[in-house]
Amino acid sequence: MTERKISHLRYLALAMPNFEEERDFFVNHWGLTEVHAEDGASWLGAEAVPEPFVIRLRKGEKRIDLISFGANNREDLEALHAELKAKGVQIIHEPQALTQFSGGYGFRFFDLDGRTIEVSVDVKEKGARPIGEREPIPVKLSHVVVNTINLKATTDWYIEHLGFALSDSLEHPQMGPLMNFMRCNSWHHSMAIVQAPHYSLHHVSFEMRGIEEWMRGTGKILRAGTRMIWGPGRHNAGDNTFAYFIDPAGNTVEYTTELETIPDENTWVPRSLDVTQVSTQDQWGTANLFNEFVVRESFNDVDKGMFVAAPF
Amino acid sequence: MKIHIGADWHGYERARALESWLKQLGHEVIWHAAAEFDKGDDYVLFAVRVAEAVLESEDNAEEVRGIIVGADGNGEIIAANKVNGGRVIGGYSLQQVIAGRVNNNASTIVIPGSFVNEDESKQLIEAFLKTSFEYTVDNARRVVNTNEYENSRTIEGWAAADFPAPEEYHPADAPDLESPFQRK
Repeated sequence: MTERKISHLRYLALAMPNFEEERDFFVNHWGLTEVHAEDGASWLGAEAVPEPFVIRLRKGEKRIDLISFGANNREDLEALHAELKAKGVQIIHEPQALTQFSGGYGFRFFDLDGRTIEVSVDVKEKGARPIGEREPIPVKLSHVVVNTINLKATTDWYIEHLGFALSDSLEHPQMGPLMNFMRCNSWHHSMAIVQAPHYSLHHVSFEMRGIEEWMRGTGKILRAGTRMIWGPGRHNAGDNTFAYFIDPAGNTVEYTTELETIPDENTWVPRSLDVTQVSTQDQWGTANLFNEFVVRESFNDVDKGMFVAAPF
Repeated sequence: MKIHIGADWHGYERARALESWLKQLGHEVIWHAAAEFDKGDDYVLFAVRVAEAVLESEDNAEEVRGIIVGADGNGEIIAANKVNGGRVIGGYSLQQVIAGRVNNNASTIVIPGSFVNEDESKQLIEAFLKTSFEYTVDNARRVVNTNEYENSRTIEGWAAADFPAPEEYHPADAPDLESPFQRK
């Protein structure tokens, strides 16, 4: 494992043909704030964090445009770039001043599967405020989960190249390993990787202030006509409450709360949890199990953006 | 706290008295009934208006409750619960009102003016305003399950018909439910 130079998850950039509908969903119903807009693109922030934006939407063929992480500092960023280059990782662009909204300094590369990954520092932060009691809007981006056709190789790649660590995993007695929860700081996971028939976005998750705000947000999004495909419940891995919805682009989006933190990374022993045990997936014991419908929805459409750099 | 209040002609006079009392206590009271007593007016519009206003305030993160005053109160409860997201209970006893807040996160109370006098109404409302929802995962799940059914006609993704038939239910399999009245 390489020394960890990644500090946190910054944002997820997505493209979809029905951009206007998706923007309306995230801004008027989901509770993100549009902090910048250009023709056919929108940068969406979460009120409680200074991160300039947490979701970027672009009109185009459906894909993950990129996943962005922060580096600890410029030295770490340069060192990480040098390490990745030496290991033969395909670099999209060298460290440079970033030209999109919020600027900063960073570089982009393809991960093992061909997703565009960005690592940056010195972005222009925005103002932030604490989410008030009862406010049904997300505090921050919690985690991004991707589908891959080779769970082990992709997991090993993130550990070896970006210094991620395995927090917990889910497995099936017959099907074997299904999902690995990966951390890049003390949060239980900022990313997870799922074994699937193709590459795609599994889901993106947003953290709410507490159970009241999670309930209010869930009620509000249901009233907006959004389909809840799984939940409400409480995961064993991560100890977080969950409710999963389908957004207008057909991506799965989650409201969660109380994601577990790892008190001491040095002594944490990853658990392997059996998905056929009800308590593994849902401590409340009632949310519909990882049934075929949920699995199909979360496999999502095939991502056409592998090894194709995002246009900006 | 923001309080939306409404009443038909049966509850009009009591609602006006409660409005004054609540304002004296420092609440922001918003009147949703007729501007003046209108003999024979129907409760449906006022009940729905109060429930809708409460939902709007909830979405705006306000601390809010609704109060509807009627005669027996039953029609108001039925009508107000037709509002998507409405959580409306009748106010028939102190213990029952407290349970409605603790377990159900009730957001609007219907005061049945024919069965409770003004002093009793105030006691019920006082309990309704000061009792908090108990944020347990079980309580939260049941509220969200109800929201889901209201919007998609499913409970955790399943149609009611997909659940086991009643004769296949066995008490031993049932969750261990506490009586709301055993709680605080």
